[in-house]
Amino acid sequence: MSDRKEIDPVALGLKQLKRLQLALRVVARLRPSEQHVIYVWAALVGLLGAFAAIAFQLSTSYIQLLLTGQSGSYVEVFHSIEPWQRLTVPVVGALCAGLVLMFGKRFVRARETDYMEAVALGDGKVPVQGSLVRSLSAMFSIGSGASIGREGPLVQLAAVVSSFVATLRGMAPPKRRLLVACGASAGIAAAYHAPLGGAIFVAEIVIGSFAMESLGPLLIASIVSVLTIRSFGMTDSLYHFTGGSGDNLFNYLFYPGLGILCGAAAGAWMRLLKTSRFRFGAIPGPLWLRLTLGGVLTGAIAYWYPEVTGNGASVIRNMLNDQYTLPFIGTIFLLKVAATCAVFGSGAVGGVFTPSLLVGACAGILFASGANLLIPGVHLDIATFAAAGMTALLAAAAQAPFTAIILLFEMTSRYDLVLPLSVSAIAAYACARAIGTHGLYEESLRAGPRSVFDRPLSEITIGDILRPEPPSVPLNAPFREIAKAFLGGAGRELWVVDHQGRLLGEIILPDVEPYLREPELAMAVIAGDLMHEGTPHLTKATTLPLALDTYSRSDAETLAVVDPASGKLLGAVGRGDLYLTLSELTRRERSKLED
Amino acid sequence: MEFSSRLTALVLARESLASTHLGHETALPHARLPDEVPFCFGFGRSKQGFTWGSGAAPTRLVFLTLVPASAATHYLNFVRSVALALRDGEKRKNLLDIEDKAGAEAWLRQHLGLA
Repeated sequence: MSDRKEIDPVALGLKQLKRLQLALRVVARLRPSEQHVIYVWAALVGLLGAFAAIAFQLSTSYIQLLLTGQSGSYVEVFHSIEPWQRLTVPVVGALCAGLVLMFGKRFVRARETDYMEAVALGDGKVPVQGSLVRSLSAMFSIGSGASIGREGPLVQLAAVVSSFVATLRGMAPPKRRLLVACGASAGIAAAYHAPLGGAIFVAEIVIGSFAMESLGPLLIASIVSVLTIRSFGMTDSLYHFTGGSGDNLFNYLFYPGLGILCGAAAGAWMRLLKTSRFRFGAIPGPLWLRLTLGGVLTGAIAYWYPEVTGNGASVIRNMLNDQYTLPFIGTIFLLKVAATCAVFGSGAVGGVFTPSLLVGACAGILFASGANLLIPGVHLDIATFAAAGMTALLAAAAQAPFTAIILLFEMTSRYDLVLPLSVSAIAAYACARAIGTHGLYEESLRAGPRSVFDRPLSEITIGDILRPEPPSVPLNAPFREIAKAFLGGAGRELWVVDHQGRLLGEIILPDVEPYLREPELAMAVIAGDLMHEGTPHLTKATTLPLALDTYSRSDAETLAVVDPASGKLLGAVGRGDLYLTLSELTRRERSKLED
Repeated sequence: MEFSSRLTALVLARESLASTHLGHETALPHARLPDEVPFCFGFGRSKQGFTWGSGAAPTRLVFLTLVPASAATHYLNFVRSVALALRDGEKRKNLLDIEDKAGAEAWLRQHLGLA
């Protein structure tokens, strides 16, 4: 017989082996699939996304304190500071934001990535340095009261963290993208205190699918994110108001009208934003100068009307609670549009989500007030129509009615308003589609980073989406090593390779189960005894349709990718990765057709 | 190459990867063969025992198994049955004390669940 050393179970540490067996028994009983594992990562990303949101908020508050000597609502702070400060603070903030971007571009060679691109597209790799530069710039803009939303940089920060985690774990591109989407979902949920809205936003606008394969992780990430920020005392609904009601049936005749108005207004709003960016872009001079010019315009308006500063959240709250007169709302509407166009057009980093809500709220109030004034016997509730206007404008601008309804429902915490919000959102969406309005995020989604997904389906192969370095063990790996590989993150399949790295077979988790009860037996069993030979595998050149066909004839969760010439194991592709890739390609094809 | 030589080579190759000594004075050498070969095993014993590989404990019971490539699970269940039966010192002693082939066959049928 062999002259190899006899394995002595005691010498090898029976205790350690038994512990391994116990852990593996739990894993084998639970049989965690790739989908289950991604839930765990989604929860972690949700936690990190919430921390990123909190860190961003604290940073902007600190910059606000530094520039104004106070912290709190931008409108209140700008009301309380000296008039000359109202003029200068946005200018200083914009100058700093511009300089950060300018110097950042010199030191960071990475491609500039818009936050929606970061979330939505490419292979899920979000450039860390470039994103940090943009986030720092956004902190100065937002901290100095620029009329711009904070959701952009906040989502980008969450996406960077998620991308970092996914890259660290060596996830395949489709999984990495899903995790980055989870980070975005967590960021939005944290920004708007909206767990469902965060997930639905990403599912509807970014991924374009409500399949549970992606919606499940998105929901987990956003729920964990909101629970985390709640544990820090941020529990309020952003736009809670007590008045108004959706009970009056007669008023339902007016919601479609408001929806149509907002649908048309959204088109004009999008064009204004685009034109302002184009006009500012045509101004000769460096980027910091353009941003400073945006700051000068903001400061000039804020000098007279501090209500235009910040993203507009506190102004919306005041409008919903009937704090302003109609002429004042009309003025704020015009000035807020001007200030947002100035800041957004200048190239400042940030979003226009909340400013869009403010525009919608103004539209709703003006519409309801006009109807009350002009049509005898009509008494439309101003606050309800403000909320409906916000929903309608968001539905039309983002081309996402479901997201708008859910977000506004969560932000107002008013279930009784769901029906009027829905009616106006659907009408606005239909109107925007009819007049060919381009969505708020459409450009980013269409012009995102070039990646594998931009090629035709027939040209995309398994080599583009494979996960390198899949879990593998040598032929003579003892049970201990096999157990460790399964516990260390291998899914259902573990590959067996020879000393040259050539694929010999695979071990599947359920097969290991019988060896969990007998430590002595585990000593005598090696990978070669457990492996299945001749299982289907893919090559780098396998096209996605062919891979799908191979999967349809196998019950494997993950298939090995092998070099056909040498037989070496190159990587692995999960069934979920394949489905996510096909889902993304479908979304892009649909987008192209719509164009 | 003759089947027996090929079989010996395969068994030794497997043994060179890792010992098939199970403990409880038992070893389970085996070879994976093409599917045409039926699953079968041979049983041998040595009352005085011998050294299996470089192990210190004597080996008295040997189950040499031929495993069709697609019957790995079958084999592993068999290994498990052997291990479960022979970890019991009394049963092991009974198998070692049996005098004739018929008695050994009866023991194997009873304790390994063979038809």
